Amino acid sequence: MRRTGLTLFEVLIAMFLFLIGVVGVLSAMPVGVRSAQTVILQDAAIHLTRSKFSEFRRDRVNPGVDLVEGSPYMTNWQEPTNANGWHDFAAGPGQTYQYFDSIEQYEWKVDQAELAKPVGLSGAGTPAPPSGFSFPAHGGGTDVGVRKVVVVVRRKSTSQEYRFVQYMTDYGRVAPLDKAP
Amino acid sequence: MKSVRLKAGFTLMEIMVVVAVALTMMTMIVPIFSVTTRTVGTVERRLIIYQRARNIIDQIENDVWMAGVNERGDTFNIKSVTYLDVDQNRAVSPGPDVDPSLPNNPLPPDPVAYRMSRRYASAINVMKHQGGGFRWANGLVMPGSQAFPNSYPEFFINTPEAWKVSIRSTLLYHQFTNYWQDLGYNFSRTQQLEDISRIRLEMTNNAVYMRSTYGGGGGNMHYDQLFHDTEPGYEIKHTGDRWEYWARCSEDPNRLASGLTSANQYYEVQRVSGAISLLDFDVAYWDDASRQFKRPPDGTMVNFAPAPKAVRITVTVADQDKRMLLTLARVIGIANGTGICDDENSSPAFGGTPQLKFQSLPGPVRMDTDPYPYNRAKDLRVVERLIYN
Repeated sequence: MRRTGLTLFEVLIAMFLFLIGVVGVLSAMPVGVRSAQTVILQDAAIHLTRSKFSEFRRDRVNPGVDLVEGSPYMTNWQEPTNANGWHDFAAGPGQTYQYFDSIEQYEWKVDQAELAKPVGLSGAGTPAPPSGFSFPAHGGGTDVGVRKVVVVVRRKSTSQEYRFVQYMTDYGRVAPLDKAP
Repeated sequence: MKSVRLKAGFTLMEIMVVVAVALTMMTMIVPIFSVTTRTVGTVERRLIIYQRARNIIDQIENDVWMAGVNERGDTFNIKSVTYLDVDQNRAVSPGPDVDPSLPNNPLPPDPVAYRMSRRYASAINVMKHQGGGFRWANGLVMPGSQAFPNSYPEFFINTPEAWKVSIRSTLLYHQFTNYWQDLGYNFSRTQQLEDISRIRLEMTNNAVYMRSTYGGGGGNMHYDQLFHDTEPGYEIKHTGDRWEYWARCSEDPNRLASGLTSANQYYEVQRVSGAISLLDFDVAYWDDASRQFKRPPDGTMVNFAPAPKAVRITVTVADQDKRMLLTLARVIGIANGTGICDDENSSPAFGGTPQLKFQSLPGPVRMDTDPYPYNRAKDLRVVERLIYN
């Protein structure tokens, strides 16, 4: 028997392969969407963390004291902790983040473990600093009041988070931040 | 004899089966493609406007956080003005819109601010200390413009330099200049309200330069005393696109009357960066008493001395087709003082007594007659003659 055409079986196999190709293309699209959403989160996190650092500097906080969870400043002047143990952004009428689209998706906190490590001055190191000079030492040396402040912003209840660092020192606050508003 | 069937192609049945299977597959795949494509498009559109908003706010922050005031309180002010657009193609969120036919209708309720037809066109004018800039670097947008970021050292040795910075919506300042006209951005306020994609953010930097030795200072002025053209009520203007006009962008009438010479024509330079599309530009100041960001009432301006501890910049941007809006805000801290002057006359180190230099005046304030009317909202209609239309 001479066969000059395809059998049904062959066509079905070809279509099956075509289907696999289509599924492959489709499966790549969510990856692109996820990447774009990650960049959007990154963008939002940049705005929000810069704003938080500005708030801390505006209030002239003493980072090693005021930014500790449970401190009068964090209790009275920053947003209360939510069910996740993080802080929502204050977005009610008249509040700072009222006009930030999708603000309800985000939450923030200050990394307490990093905050607990004073950035001290140390005469030790490899190689050792010259006489009369010091190296900065995280969690060691002589505490000069500098803290590594890490603000973490994440999409609520997910592991998608971004961490931003600024070194801060005591501004010598003048506002009575240790009192309730 | 056994017959032999030659197969030269598909049977009708085979064709129908294949077509049916193909149709079924297409019916299943096309909606998935459609939804996925739409999702990708939406996310990409959203990504673009997020990036656009961040670019704008980053630039604003870079200028505003270098703001300072000198001992006379020159200059930190915020203007708050809104207009009603008549653009029928803007994206809107569900909710009651304001009636454009009522010019004095109230602001929309807070939850829909920036979403309806009222466009926020603020301006923030500050004095920025020189962060290092080479005025005559070639290849910048305009001759005499400042490299950005401010990474080139300033090497003129006579005096410190500052910049009068004005960041404003072109909806508020819609004056024409040849420069913008050449670029096709010279839309009037009416044209911008008809098509809000024409609204731009504009940033101008005017150099304050050689002030202690030029124009009457005689070298006796304090290092940070500046001419009165930086005081409240004096506007930072566009003056054209030619260097001789930039050189006379000061509003000092004595200077303008005295004319320019080859020796002083470079003493003031102006840089304009702009063409940044945005719909709303709104500035709120931090009120330490109520611990809230407050927007000056519509149609007013506030001169601050000292500057507020922080401002909040809110921008609304749209994609090119105005199908999607995004409103973002950022808090920007201002490194300010307490208002207590501690110079050689008042510092305990020199036997003096610290004095509070910046004080608000009691009673109603007229911008055009009362001196130093700081820290309160002034009705812009009172100072209409000072508004540069």
